[in-house]
Amino acid sequence: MKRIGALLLVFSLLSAFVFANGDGESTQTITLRMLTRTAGADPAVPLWEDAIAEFQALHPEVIIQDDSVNQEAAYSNIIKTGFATGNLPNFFYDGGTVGMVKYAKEGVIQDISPAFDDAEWYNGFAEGTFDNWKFDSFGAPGYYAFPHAMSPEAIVYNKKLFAQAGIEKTPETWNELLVAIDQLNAAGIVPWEMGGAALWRTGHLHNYIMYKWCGVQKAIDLGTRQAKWTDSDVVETFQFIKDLKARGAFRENFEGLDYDMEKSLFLAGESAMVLNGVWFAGEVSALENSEDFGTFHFPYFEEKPEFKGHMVCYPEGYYVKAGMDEEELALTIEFLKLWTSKKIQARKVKELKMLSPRVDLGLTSEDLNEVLVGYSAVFSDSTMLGSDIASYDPLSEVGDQARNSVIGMLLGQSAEEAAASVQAVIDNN
Amino acid sequence: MQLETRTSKTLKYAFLTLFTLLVAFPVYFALVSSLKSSIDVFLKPFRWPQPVMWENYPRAIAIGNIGVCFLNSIYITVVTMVVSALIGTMAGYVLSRLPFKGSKFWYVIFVAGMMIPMQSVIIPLSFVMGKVQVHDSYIMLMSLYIAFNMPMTVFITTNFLKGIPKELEEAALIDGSTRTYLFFRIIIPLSIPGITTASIFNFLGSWNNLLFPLVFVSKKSMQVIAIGLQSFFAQRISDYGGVMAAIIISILPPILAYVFLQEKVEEGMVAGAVKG
Amino acid sequence: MNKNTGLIISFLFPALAFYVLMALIPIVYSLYFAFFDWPGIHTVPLKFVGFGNFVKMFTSPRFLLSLKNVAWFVFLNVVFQTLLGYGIALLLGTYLRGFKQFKLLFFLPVVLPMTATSLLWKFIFLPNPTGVLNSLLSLFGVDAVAWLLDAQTAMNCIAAANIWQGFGYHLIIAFAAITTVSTDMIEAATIDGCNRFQRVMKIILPSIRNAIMISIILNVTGNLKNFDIVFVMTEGGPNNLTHVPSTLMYVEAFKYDHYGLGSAIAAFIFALSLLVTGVSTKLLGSKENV
Repeated sequence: MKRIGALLLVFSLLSAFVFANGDGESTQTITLRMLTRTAGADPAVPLWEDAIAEFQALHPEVIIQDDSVNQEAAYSNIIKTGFATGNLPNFFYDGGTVGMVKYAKEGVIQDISPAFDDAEWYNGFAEGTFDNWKFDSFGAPGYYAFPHAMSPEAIVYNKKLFAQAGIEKTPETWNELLVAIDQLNAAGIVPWEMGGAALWRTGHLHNYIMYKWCGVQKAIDLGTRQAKWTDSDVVETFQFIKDLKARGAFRENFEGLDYDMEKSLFLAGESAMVLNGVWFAGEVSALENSEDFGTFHFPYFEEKPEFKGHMVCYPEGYYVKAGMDEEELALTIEFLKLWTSKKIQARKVKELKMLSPRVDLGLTSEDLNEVLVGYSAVFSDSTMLGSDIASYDPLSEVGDQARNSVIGMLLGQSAEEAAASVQAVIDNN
Repeated sequence: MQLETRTSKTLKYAFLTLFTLLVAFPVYFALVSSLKSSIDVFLKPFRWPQPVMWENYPRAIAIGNIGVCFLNSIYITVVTMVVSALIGTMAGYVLSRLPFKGSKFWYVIFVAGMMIPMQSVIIPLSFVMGKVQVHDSYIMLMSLYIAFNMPMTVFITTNFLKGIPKELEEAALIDGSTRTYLFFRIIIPLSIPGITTASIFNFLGSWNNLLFPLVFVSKKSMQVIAIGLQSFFAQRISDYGGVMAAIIISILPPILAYVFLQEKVEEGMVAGAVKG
Repeated sequence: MNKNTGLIISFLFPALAFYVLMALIPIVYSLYFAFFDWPGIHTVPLKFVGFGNFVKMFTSPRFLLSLKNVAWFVFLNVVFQTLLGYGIALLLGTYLRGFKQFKLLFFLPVVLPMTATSLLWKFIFLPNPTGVLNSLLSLFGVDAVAWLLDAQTAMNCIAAANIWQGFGYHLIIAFAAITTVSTDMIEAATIDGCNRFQRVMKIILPSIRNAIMISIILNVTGNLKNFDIVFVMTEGGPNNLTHVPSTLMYVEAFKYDHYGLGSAIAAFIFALSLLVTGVSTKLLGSKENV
């Protein structure tokens, strides 16, 4: 027994030294590290793999190392450590905009506007797309990200359940929405599926209510401190959410429901509506009964017709690390251009049923199903687009507190207390 | 041994069985869920899987790259465990049986480390690794694990070794053996139960650890099981049936390890009992 | 000079080297951070703020709440893990038929990955009526409970999951300890007419006192810094009501980029551990006789 133990020990120590350091790479290869949240079971993974394979075929001296990770906490760990130590990936995904300004100011992320010289590639995007990542007004001139997606948000609904409840026309105004909710409840159907445990779910609801009631400019003003969270119209936006719950719009104890559960329940026909972004379209399309689903715009308030066209769209982008040598930077940008090229983006729409920020893809009605068409209508029908309320604030705690306060309010606090707690975070900083 | 009355025995069994059901339920739940579709896991938690989705398992293995992660995890964990056990016992021996000035001090230094939250060392560690340009190194990872295993291991071995009768040592020394020989030939075999207990902790610590591989190992081919499990949580899509399958797969080696180690524990315990 | 000096040094060195280099020095470095403000960008220098972070920490209601939470959490764990671990070990004994299988079974939760356990229990504690526990309750006509959603019950639920996962450790330690109890003493006591209960109370328990102390210390120190289970089950929510110092530290540093404040919290957790260890070593030391 002792002999075996000794042998095991020797073996393990020896092998530790032999196997310990990854595989040796030849010094001529350049490794580009990429970090996105597309990994594992995400259906977009094969498309990335194809893009990587294509790029590596073009550039045999390059190895692209995909370190992508799905989960938010895990992802944030890696990114934050990257910023802290300077060991950033060559490019990485981020769903925020203003939150990245401080990194631009410190010169750790790269201004990618030189890439615009490639007119053919550049002109394929909707006008103003890149402005989402233009930080001039914040003191960091330049454009800082490649577009991953411009993701609009709308209400997806189950047509069969609506019909069952006797709702003939999809609601356009807030009051009509409330009536529809009553009708659904009367028919014994859960009107609105909402996974409150994932804070961003109610956060997104708040986004829409904020823009329909106060306009997108309000969120910008909150971020520049020209408006306060304790302003009466902002407090009212909190109250609307509370009223929805009181009206019975959501499932009992929905605050503890997590996002995956919400999706599963809705897709299985257990509820009539969800508010979700275009990233959800793929899952809906994959169902056998996908024709049972449609979309409609988030209702506007009759008292505020001026905000009818204010809608939510999230600009998600790929930021590039600064300080690379010329060759590495050129390769990184080239790869990102490949990913955002016509060819790959067309596949993204056709195969994955997701929207693309490019507008020169020549899509036909075959490529877009009803749900996708509904989402694209956000672009054509909107007069102003806003993203996450939190994305306009340089302090990440504010957005976090705003979301937490919504839940706190739903669990018992008043709308005034909720709004005050967010303002307190700003005042204390 | 005194015989027990039949009623007390039955009562015991009844209680134990009930308790067993309680303890086993979540694992049973994972097992049953691993054969269901994602939606069924949510909607029908108690229903028997219908249809039985055996394909969750191969999918789990493929998507999570579980096979590779598995081997990596086993390799890292075994090496860490063996090295930790050895040097931890060596330190424990010195601290418990060779009193010298400051031994108490070193003991406290070691044991205080049990409180170090792992999150708080990530930044300084990555700083250093960034400066030294060391990435994706198993030696680094294993050294980290060994380092963080030391407090617990030293704690357990020191206290355990205190219980070994001095006469044993003295007898051997009088007979002319060196302390080193004494250590390897006599002390270690006697401390098997202590070493095993510590090793179980160490095994599990490395096996389950998510944070360090996440931050310090980025190459896919070098990932570990904890990361493999994470890959089921795509940004906006989930696969709970597959996750459960992956969970079941990932707990097999620890169970096997325990079964194997358990025999060693028995051996040690019996030996201890006989020696009195 | 001790004649064993060479041995002492060579035996102590490897463990010390690993530990000091890879654990101790980094933590000291990160404690250094606690006196500075730093946004977590490598090009930005540290800004000295003296005790500013500590002041912020001790005056933060969230931090004080996290202390309360962790104290309760540790208390529950110590009580129940020790009770269950040692109680079941005594109950099983080593002659009860099938005890090995029971032991294996009760240890099973211990080997599960933390992420897995937290997830499983999160499922079980779902607050909606179709959640696992709530479905069970509805069979008995009891209303759905909010479990992790309710600040009152949330900590208890997390503790329950942690106890389920951890008591097996202590069961093993208990077993190892009980078997070292001298059988002669037990036999003598039996002959003298002691019944089982007296045997346990008067002989076995005092003999394994050391092991119980070790279990308690392990429990306290391990759970004071417990991060994973709280983080995965509630992320400190709802509305930041179930934070413990370690999750708060993570959030402050990695989410809000307050690395100085996060390091201050880490320093606090570490200082607390030193205190606990020091106190318990004294206790253990004084109990040592013979």
